[in-house]
Amino acid sequence: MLQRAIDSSPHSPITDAVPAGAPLVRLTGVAKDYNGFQAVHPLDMTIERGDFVSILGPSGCGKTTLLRMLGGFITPSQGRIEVDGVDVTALPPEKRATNMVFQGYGLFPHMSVRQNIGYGLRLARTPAREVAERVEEMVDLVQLGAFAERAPTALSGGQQQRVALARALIMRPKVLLLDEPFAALDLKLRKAMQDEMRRLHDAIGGTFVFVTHDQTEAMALANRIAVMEGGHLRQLGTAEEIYLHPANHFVSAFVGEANFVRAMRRNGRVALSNGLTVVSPGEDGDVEIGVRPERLMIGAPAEGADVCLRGSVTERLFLGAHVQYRVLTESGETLVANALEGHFSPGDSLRIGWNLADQWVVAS
Amino acid sequence: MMGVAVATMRRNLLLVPAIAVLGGLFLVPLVWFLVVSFYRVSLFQLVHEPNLANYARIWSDYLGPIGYTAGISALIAVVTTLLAFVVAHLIWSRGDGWGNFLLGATLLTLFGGYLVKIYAWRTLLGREGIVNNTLVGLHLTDNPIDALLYSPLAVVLVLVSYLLPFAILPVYGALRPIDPTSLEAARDLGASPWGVLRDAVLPRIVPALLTAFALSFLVSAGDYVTPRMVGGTRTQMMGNFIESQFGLRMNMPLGAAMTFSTLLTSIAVIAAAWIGMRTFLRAK
Repeated sequence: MLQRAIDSSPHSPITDAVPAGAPLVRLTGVAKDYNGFQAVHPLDMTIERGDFVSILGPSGCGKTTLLRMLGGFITPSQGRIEVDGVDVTALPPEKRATNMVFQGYGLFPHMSVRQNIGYGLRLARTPAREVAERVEEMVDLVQLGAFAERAPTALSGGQQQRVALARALIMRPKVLLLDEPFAALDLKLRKAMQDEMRRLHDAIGGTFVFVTHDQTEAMALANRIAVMEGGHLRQLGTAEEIYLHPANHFVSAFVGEANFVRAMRRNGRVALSNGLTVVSPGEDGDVEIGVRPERLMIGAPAEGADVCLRGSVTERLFLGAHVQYRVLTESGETLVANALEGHFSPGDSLRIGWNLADQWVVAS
Repeated sequence: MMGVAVATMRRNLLLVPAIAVLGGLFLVPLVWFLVVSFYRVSLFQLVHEPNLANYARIWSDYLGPIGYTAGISALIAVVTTLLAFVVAHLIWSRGDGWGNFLLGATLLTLFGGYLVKIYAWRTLLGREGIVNNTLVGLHLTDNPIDALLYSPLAVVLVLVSYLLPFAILPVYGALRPIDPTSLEAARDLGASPWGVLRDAVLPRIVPALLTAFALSFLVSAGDYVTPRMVGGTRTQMMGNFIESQFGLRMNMPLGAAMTFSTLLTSIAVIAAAWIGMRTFLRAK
């Protein structure tokens, strides 16, 4: 299940016949170059049938470009995109078995909700009766029965969002592409729409690819998350994998909060400041040991931890669900620890530590 | 309740100047003309005896010119509206400097006056004009073609070029608010580029297209300067006939009757255009 994606050098196209059980979507060395600006560096990625993949990254990381290449709105400068074994790299959007839910929805204001939802089927010359039946199915699925004859402009943002979703889903796409569909909604509505997306994916199955800059959203929805930065695919894995075992510094810092402790790697071993050394295969050189704030132990529990350091509290913030301490260690590193108990004050000396199972090592 | 009534009255009061101008300078003279069209003239004096003689005369003598005027004006309006859509679409779809350049060029042509444009076309199309000189110079013809100027074609060319910027602006204004995402959505749902135009663009700009059509049609149908300057003797449009009734022939009742006949025909043509656009420019 664990699928690592690595930035690849330009590839020669794969010409083999598609074996059974092949991934639904296969990107091979796909890249986009805008007159010298590399929006997406050559990357490989596979998406399995039934996957709910989230492409996560800060703005400008190339995630929307990648999604639009999947949808056919942007032609890759190089590489190959296959959907269900068919090379679609050169196909325009109307000839692809993918459908997109756009960030701005892109509803047709001159059509009613029903007409919007049925548009794709009408274009495909589906018999009128079947169009009507499937539109009703969709209207029920997204719970828009009371609004079906209205113009989209008379609907709220969340309702418009559902129309856009229904309009794409009715096409029974092989892959449903969603471009930050909840970006314009307020937090509460976002949560409700996320629940609805999960319900939809469970109910109808299908393969969803979802672009977002919101890691909570990515974790709440996706079974696999692709983290992008600067046009590179930095890691592809489950939420647990990217959170607990980030592959590099960027993923460590972007997904959740992380503490970093500098260290050196020699001959496949990293020496910790308390003299302990851990096995960590990789190139010799400077590395960083990462550990999450909520995995740090302070006070008495820290004394039994695999790694234990001395330090003093420089800051204490009560944040409701937890107390956040900023601790300056004797070796001069500032660590942020989240604790449930709050009986330390700034200036207090204390021990701070963590278990080896909770740390990871990445090149710095 | 009282406050609302007073506020409504005040708001209505604000409409008075506009109504006065429209009523006094447009509606009243129009009604007056309508009344006059049923009178007749004797010894340069209006005779206040209502009769249908003027309309009977139009029915027997002027149906041809009215039909010709409506036909050539409709042609001009169709060509202008089509070109206006093409240019407006180009301005709209080109986000880069090209679009702005075209829009600027469109507005710039409004600086040239109506008569200036007519003379410019005469310079182009005349016997010693640029087109004829080029054709003769290239030995494509032995003698200059007289039919370029003083022909219905010249009238169409002049009026289309004169009306185009006026027609572009409403169409461009209607295209601007269209969300480009909705065009991508149409593509995504299976529409070809032409399908996008048919389903996501044209149905949304019908009012603007009708505005462009009506504007071009009404100006053409009422024009009498262009036909006289470049139309030659064969291109007699209703504007010319009406003008002569009010001028040289001093037959205001017949002129008024001609005016109303042309007006009714124009309304019919515009209504037909509206029905046609609503019928054919519909999303799938």
